[in-house]
Amino acid sequence: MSEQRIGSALPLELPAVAKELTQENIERYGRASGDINPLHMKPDVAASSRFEGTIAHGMLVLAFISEAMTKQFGVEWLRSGRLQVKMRNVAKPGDTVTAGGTLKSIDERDGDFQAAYAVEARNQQGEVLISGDAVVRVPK
Amino acid sequence: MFEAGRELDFGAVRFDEATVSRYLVAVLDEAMAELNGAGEGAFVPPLAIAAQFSKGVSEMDLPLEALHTGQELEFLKPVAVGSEVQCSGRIVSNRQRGEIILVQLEFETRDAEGDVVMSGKTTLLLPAEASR
Repeated sequence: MSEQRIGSALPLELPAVAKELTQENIERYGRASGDINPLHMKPDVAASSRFEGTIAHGMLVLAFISEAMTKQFGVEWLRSGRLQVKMRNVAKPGDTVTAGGTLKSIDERDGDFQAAYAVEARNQQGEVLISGDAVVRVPK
Repeated sequence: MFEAGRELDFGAVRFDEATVSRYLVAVLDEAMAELNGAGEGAFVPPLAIAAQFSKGVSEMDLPLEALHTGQELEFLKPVAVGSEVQCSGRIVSNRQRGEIILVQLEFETRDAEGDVVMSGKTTLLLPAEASR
């Protein structure tokens, strides 16, 4: 594979995914996933928590990073993707979350390329909500 | 509740079209919808499969302020819409550090053929006081 071909298959930046979170989105995710912890679903209960209100599920915010990888790599992400992340800050209703990533390395493994991206999701203030690594195999 | 070594069975879920559609609307995911319309087949979003595990964990009577602080996932095989998968796991470790307890859990999800389609590790941070 030429360097140009590698460059077109493995961009330096993942396509950014931006989403506005609302309480309605969070509750819809809770119902769809079955994770109905009151910290996400019940504003009156969550008001007494240290967050003073509801927060989004970490797996909802992580889904935005997975969407960025799916956008770029399609079914290869579903077939060979790996994620390793830390949840660093919480997302709240009203936040706009932007997920994306930057190419860290390309290795050859078993005849394919293996691309590693530093991935993250940030809120509208630029605070990192989730950060870590995503790895995907890309056929030559 | 979180003793290391405890085995966890999160049961089976069938990801039919309606279930996947509800999930995609909930996560506002346009990329999976595009992929599933591209003719390569219709697949379940991997994070929808992982959510089966987080749902199971959320049902373990967690204190309100339990926090999900770390996640590892490995996707091994695309899962077609309409498939049933089975999720099981175990508590790997449970360590108290001052006022917090760090719990690490691992899981794997298998399809009807018995193939592992996904595995992962989750780290939770629990307030020690509320977890006693």
